[in-house]
Amino acid sequence: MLKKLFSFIFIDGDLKNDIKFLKTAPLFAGVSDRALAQIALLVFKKTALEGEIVFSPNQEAQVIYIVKSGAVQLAGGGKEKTIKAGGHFGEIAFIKDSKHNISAKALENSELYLIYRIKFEDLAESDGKTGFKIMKNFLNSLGAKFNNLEI
Amino acid sequence: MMNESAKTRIFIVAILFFLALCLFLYFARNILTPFLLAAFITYLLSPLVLRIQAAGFRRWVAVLAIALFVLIALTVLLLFLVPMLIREFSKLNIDFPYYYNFVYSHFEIIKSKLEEVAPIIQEQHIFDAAIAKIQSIVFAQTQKIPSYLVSFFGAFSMFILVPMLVFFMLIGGNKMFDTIVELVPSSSVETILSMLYEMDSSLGKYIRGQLIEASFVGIMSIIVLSIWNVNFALLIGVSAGFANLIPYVGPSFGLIFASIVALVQYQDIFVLVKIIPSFLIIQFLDNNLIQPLVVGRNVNLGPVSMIFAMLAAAQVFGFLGIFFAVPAAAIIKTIFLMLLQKYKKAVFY
Repeated sequence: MLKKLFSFIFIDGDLKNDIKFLKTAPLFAGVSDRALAQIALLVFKKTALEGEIVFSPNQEAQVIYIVKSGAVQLAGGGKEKTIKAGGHFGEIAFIKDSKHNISAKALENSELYLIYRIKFEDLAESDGKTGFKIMKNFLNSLGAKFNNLEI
Repeated sequence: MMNESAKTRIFIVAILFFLALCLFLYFARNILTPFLLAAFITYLLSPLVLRIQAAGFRRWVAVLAIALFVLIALTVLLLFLVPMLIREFSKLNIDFPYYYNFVYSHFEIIKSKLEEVAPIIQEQHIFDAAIAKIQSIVFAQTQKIPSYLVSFFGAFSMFILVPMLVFFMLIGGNKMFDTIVELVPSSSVETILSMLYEMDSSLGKYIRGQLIEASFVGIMSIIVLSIWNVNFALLIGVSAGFANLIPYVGPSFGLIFASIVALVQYQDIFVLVKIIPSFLIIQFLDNNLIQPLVVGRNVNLGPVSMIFAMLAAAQVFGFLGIFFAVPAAAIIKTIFLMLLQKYKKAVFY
């Protein structure tokens, strides 16, 4: 009872929920709670309204998006893909000075978590282990998109 | 529910509002100092808050812990350092006429020697006029120093208002950033974020770098002057550290201050053989060891724009403006470059 009261007063519940959510995202698989807390503190939350363009081709890529709720449609190169809660897109921002070559549109009102590239790089620099884990997850998701990576 | 064009419209209104706010701030500039100071301190402390927050605590817990720590540290500082400084200050007050006479008499000797060489100086009363002018400036300015300090660091703003503002700014945290991100249209959020963070990182690096450098110069000066057994080592060191925050002119301040005191104390010009190289070595170490370590001290402002910014800020905001001039100019430059890039793109496509 006392412990519950104590944690209610001093412990940040929203942050805990954010950590719980980030844990389910494939991009952050295997990342420690403490590192996730740091990531949760540097995300920006933004609501994209139904039909709103999140980004369009040729726009500079600076942000990695994680879908908290809702759905976002990616379209480009004759292909289409829908990202649902827990998924991420815009990872091309991990590559320096890159530009988006697809467009992203919210299919319904969607809550997005935004991670700014340079902030992430700062974190990865100070906590190499976490940085490496996230980059590995990123490479895995990237690799899954190509049929043949070795040539 | 908002649609996209309504969002864009609100964004434009927000920008206009921001411009109006800037204009208002210009008119209210006299009360800005405690806020700027508080923002500056908040900026320094916020990484610490984030670190404590990352352990899972609520924000106010982190802020309270820091506030308590700072309070204790300040009390210790006040108990030990301030009495020492006050002692040196009062000693300087008593000794000041002596120092003044010393400088003045030496000036007289130089004057008579020069007048022997070039009689025209005496005929035209160039020296007397110059002395009178310098005297009036020096006396007017030194008399103003206490009132400067009082007007900027009035007891209320210094000891109550600033800590209070810092506390609330820390509690509030990044709400401003969050609001901006939520408000702008999704398609421009990446640009806005990169602009905000570019300002943030160049500013943060500059401020942290400056503080590290100032403390280095201050502490080294105190050590060196203590080794050479010069009076007022603490006072000179602390003021040299503060002066170091001002680009170009600042670093020479400690040297001049220390040289005069040492000359008077030892009545011997050879004491400068110890003082001048010591300060040059401190500056050399600062420039070649500390500055490269503290990356990003360079805010990519040319010397001319830096000097212009300092003088302009001193004109508009008064004495303290000098300290805020360079970071403010860096922010303006970042925004300007960003807009320029946008404009170029708009022209090309």
